[in-house]
Amino acid sequence: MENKILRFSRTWRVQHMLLMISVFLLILSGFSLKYSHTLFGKVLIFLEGGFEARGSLHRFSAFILIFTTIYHVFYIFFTKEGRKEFKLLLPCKRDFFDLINSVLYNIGKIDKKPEFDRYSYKEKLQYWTVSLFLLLMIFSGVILMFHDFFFYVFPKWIFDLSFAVHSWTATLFIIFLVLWHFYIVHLSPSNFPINLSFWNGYVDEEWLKENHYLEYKRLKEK
Amino acid sequence: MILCLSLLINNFNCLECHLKEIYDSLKSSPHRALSCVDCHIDFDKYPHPEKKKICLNCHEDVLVFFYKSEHYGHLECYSCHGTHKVLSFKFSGYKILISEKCSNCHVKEGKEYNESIHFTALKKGSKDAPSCIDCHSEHFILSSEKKESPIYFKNIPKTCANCHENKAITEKYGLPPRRYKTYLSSYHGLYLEQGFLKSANCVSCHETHLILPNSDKKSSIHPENIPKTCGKCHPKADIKFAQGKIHVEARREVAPYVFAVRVFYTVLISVLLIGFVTHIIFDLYINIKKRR
Repeated sequence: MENKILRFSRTWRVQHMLLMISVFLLILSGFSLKYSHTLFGKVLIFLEGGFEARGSLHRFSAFILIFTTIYHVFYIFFTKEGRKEFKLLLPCKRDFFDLINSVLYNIGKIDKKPEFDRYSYKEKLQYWTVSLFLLLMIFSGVILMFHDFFFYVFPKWIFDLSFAVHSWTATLFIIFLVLWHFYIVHLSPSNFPINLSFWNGYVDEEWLKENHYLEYKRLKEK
Repeated sequence: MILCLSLLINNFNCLECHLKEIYDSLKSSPHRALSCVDCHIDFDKYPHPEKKKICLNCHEDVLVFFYKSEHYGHLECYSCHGTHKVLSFKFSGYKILISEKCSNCHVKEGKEYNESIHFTALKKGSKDAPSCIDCHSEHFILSSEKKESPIYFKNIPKTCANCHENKAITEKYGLPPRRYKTYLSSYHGLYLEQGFLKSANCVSCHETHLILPNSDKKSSIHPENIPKTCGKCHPKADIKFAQGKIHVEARREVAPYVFAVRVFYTVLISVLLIGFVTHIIFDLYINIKKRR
């Protein structure tokens, strides 16, 4: 294990796992309702064990997701590791220049590949977009789930708004997952076919040097 | 010529005993070319034989439907169509007449229907406004519990859609368009499509026979009555709930918030899509190039 480096702690991996499973199930059970009139939706509903089971599955996975979110908030506020990770995830000016330099490098205008810290602009974009839209998703979802209670509180258009936001954000998530996340962790040449660090936490030293040079340098300086 | 003459003779024979009014009303009906014995078979002998079901000899296409309907065995053809003065549907007031006929037995329903916007429109001379048979079908009248009935709970939205999703009709009378499509995209529609008969369909909110526009104070969908109507299923629905449309679609004039959400996300998703795809293509391109 000489050239392996532990990059993700166990709590980190558990959070990712819970997020992955719940979002996967939520997307399946959610889109099967949205497209329930199509063959695609009907097949999905069948696989999920019927229309009622689909609803239960959706709410059950939502519960896991909300739990994970609360867990994550506690993690970034009350654990040393969480605070450290969160600081590294905060967007800064450098990210903007990193993006520009990456593009310039990719079209061959500059020869030096930009160096990234533990989280590059790619990961930060992902983290912040998903976090913010996840909150929207949870708010709108809770309103829709407890609609009978909220009928007393809100006018009808709030429910229409929640429904539209919930549905559109789901589409946005799909775009993000399929195009961006899949690219970062599966398709990009240094990770192809899969970067297993989400499972065991370890990455190759070489990989870290190539993709997150600043993090690598800091580790070596220790 | 001979045929005509024989008809005349035949009918004149009958008229020796029977009232001339009967003959006159027959002459004003679509059956004017028939003679008495065409329907009253074997009646040229005396004493007359017992009555037989004779309409179906010519109108056998109706039998297929009528045979299965709820009325079969309870009603005869003439119960609705009359005896000698059978009227054609080309007669302009026939829809009003039909509602009157049905009301003879279905008193409560008839009373409610007579107050509805559908009947008001008929009285004003609309030819498209529905009478009983437009929703219940003509001869194939089935109970709402039978799955093939147009008024079976799950089939009602499609029945109403015949007019309320018909662009020619909604435009002609200035009715709010796309009622079926907007219903289907709502939770009520989604659940009903999946066979959840507890979900609301058109009549759950708009009433079955007493259908009125929301401007009418007696209407079940008048803003003041919304808490009561929605409260049938959602006990917490408040007067506040009436703020906002029920048939929602992403159009500025119908639901500005939903429309704004759609515009925002369409732009955001398009920008992200283009950005991601270009970024990925360039990234892959340089990687492949460098590796060679």
